[in-house]
Amino acid sequence: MAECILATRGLTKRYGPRAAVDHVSLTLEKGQIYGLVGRNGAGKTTIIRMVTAQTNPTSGEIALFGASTPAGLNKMRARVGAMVEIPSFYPYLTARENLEYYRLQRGIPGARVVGEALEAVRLAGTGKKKFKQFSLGMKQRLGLALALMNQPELLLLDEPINGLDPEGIVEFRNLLLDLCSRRQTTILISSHILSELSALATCYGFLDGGRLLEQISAEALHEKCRACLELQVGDPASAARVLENTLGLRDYEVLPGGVLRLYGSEEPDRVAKALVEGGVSLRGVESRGANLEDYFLNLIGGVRHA
Amino acid sequence: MLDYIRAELYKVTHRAYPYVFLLLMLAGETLLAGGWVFTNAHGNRITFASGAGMVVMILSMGLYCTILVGDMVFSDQFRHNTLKNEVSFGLPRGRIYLGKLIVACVTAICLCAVVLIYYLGLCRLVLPGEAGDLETLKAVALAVLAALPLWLGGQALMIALYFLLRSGTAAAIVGVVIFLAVPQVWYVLACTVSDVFWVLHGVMLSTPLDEINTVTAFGPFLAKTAATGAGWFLAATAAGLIGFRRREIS
Repeated sequence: MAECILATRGLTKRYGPRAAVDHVSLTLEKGQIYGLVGRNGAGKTTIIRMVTAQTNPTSGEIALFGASTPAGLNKMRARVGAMVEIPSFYPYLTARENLEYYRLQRGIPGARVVGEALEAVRLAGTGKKKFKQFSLGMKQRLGLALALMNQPELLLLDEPINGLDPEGIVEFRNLLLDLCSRRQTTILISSHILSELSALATCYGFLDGGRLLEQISAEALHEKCRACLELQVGDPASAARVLENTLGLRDYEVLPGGVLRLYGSEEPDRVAKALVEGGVSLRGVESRGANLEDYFLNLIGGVRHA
Repeated sequence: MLDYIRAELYKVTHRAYPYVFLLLMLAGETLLAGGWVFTNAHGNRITFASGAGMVVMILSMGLYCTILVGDMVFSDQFRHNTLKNEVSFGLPRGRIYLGKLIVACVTAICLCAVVLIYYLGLCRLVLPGEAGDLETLKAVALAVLAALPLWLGGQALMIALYFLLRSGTAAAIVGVVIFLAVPQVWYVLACTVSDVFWVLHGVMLSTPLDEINTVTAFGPFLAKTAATGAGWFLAATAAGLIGFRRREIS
């Protein structure tokens, strides 16, 4: 069984009567890239802020690397790199000075780690330019450099690609994939840019209204989103016989309630005709299949406007 | 804690603020001493004793400088939202608070030493000396020694205010009110309403600094300023620590 890096149990954060996070229980295992999916205000940032001690949970429990006491959690946070909301640094210091300040503060040995972190995010050439003169993309890169500087085992990234240019997004994605494969870094990444998440995540948590609606692996999600023809039949056994013997199809599954899911790109008309001619009572035919965006929208009950 | 203090000192020494502050103070002192040299050249007689004795008259300024030093070290952390980088790494809030307080005190003492040494050295260089100069220096040293705990108490109060109030400007205004206006309120109430207010007036940080010119017995006075400064230091630090522990970083 993979090592559990981060687990929350019944994690709740209330602001007055409103629950920003409502009894969320999620688990991150070592080496996972966990995509936290949700609209603005769904509770993604609040969860990360609770894990990083920026705000206290109203109730529930957080366990980091197995530690769940306040002192234990604080100790384990040194193994975490985080970039929460807009990166914040001292405006009157340069990129190198800002990182050097945090390196000293965190007791990270070796001044070269600052240069390496800046190299990794392509900010090594910013020289005497102060943070206040940085573009949003550069600020994001510096935030990522700080998150990576202590070689974290768990990386928490809140909307990390905001402000990055297309080239920066590709580099950022490759960097994360590299960290995950080379160092087995576990990554929690929240975003509402779902196409980007789908290129990275190995596991998803879908949030809406502060509640975790579903936690699912990328494989299971891919399986659920596969293009298929869903057939509602009276006798699944007879239908399966027709599919195999008449049409030569093998890639299907039988679900409860007389439902048959036929994967591939079969013509619905051809399948329906064969089933009817084979004496199968056909009650319905529907083409299914979704991407991450469709899946999420279906999960939260369609598009809602605030 | 040592790492934290090193980092804070690194930050303070890598910004222009302390150097600009120091430059302005030294320029002011140079201007003052230059003015005396000018008047001496036109028949006046300002001696080293009178020039150095000015230090005792303006010790209250040290309290107001704690507002600037506090700002220098705390560095508008709420406005720049940089505290999240510290707490998310698991640095205990007590360490963050005490680290900044220690660095503020160290910075204040260093700046104070430079300003005083420069001023006294300048006076020694440009003003005529007299037989009793050593006595003057001793009196100045005693007055500074008496003021030091009050300044440190003021520094602890300012750090607490910067941590507890979201706005640095608001913290500075509250600081000025506590240093300047509140003792005056107690004074007026003591004169017009009840003698009880003399007690409150007596424990304010600025009250002993106003009395320093008239002190005859320095021993009890030193004990009084040490007790007043320590009281403010401990109370402000306790309040600041409790408030900061509960604070949400947003």
